Amino acid sequence: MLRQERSEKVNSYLQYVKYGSGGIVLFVSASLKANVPDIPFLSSVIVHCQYNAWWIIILCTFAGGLSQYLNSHIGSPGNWRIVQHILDQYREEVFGKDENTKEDAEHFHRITLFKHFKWRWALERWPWSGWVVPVARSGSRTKTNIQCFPASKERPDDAEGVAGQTWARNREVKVCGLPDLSIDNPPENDIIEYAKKAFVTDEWIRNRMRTNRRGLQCRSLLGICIEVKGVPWGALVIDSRNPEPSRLKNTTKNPKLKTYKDILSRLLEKV
Amino acid sequence: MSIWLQVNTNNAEELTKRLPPEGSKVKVEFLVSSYDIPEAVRGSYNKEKCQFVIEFRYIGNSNEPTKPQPQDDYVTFVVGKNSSRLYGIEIDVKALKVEAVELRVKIKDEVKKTINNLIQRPINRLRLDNYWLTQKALSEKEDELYSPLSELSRSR
Repeated sequence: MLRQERSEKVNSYLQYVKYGSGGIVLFVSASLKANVPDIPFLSSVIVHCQYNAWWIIILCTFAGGLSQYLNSHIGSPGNWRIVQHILDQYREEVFGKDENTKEDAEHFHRITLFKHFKWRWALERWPWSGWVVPVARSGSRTKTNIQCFPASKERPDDAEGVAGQTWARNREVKVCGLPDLSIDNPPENDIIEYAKKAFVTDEWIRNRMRTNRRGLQCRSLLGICIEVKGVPWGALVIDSRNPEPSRLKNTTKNPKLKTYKDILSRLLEKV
Repeated sequence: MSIWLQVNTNNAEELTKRLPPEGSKVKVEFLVSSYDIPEAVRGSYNKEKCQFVIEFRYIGNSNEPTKPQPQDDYVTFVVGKNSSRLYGIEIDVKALKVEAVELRVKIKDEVKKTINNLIQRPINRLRLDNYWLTQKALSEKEDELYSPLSELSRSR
């Protein structure tokens, strides 16, 4: 699940836990000094609170702290909504104003934001070796099962995918004119060529072709470095079904795109 | 404070690396990160510190903390704490001990020399493109950049 969606789903629960545990700690702490009243139900509650106060306070403080940590780790939904809006605007600027692509469906040309993590919580062979993980994507379609790519600090040459290579090289990586793998039984040479130029393995391509009934549709990619306070944070990957999108040529010079990138860098300090 | 002088960002294209096509139609290029391309440069004289200061402006990173990196008795680089990107050059005018008429030429030479040294022995090899682009920016805006020094020479 994208970080953006997770934030929307989990944020309200974490808020309940935080305020609920705070309230419980307040009530139990206050009950420690209270005299036990004669009212039967209330007296038993206060006696229970006084008797169990030591572990209730510890547990609720821990739960409140943990929910606060998770909240700031995942990022507030408000920030993620702005990130989503910037990605949509970025996509509009690159593809929505191009005569060849403006009529196309939203999911034909996408922008995905990847974040680099040293550790990835997943059943993978090397979860600790460094990964670039998708955290947000433009539009409202194709938001599940987005691939993560290995990107190790110790072995940058082995970084996979355009996202991994962009992070590892700290350069913008542009790949245009990839072979068409959406046809039935594409030639073996095309699969090898695609894998080599997109910085993935042949096996990865074959797996994707098995899971996607229509094969691999992406024909061009552009990876853009994202830094936060001078530290490489991740990569923004533009993928398109058009093999040579004209506006992909000068993304670095477009003042609007520079502004979006600038806002994104500042916004990502908080997520 | 002097105005920012816009730099030609096309210089970065010279640093684009390409994978050999090997008869393939697929084009793979590695372009310089836009964070490393200086957008603007300015030079100013700080009367209190007796320093001539050159500053570079980049996208998105103006909030990166910086640290001074002394190069010799006269020149100090101001680099990003995390990225080692070149954010500024401080030249100690007092320590140079030159006549007012020679000031501009002397400072220009000092800056050129230290930037060349930086490219030869980079603080961070990952930022070599940035150092090269700042050198380009300095030579491109040479005349306007050092103009505060002409005024200083006249006032001395």
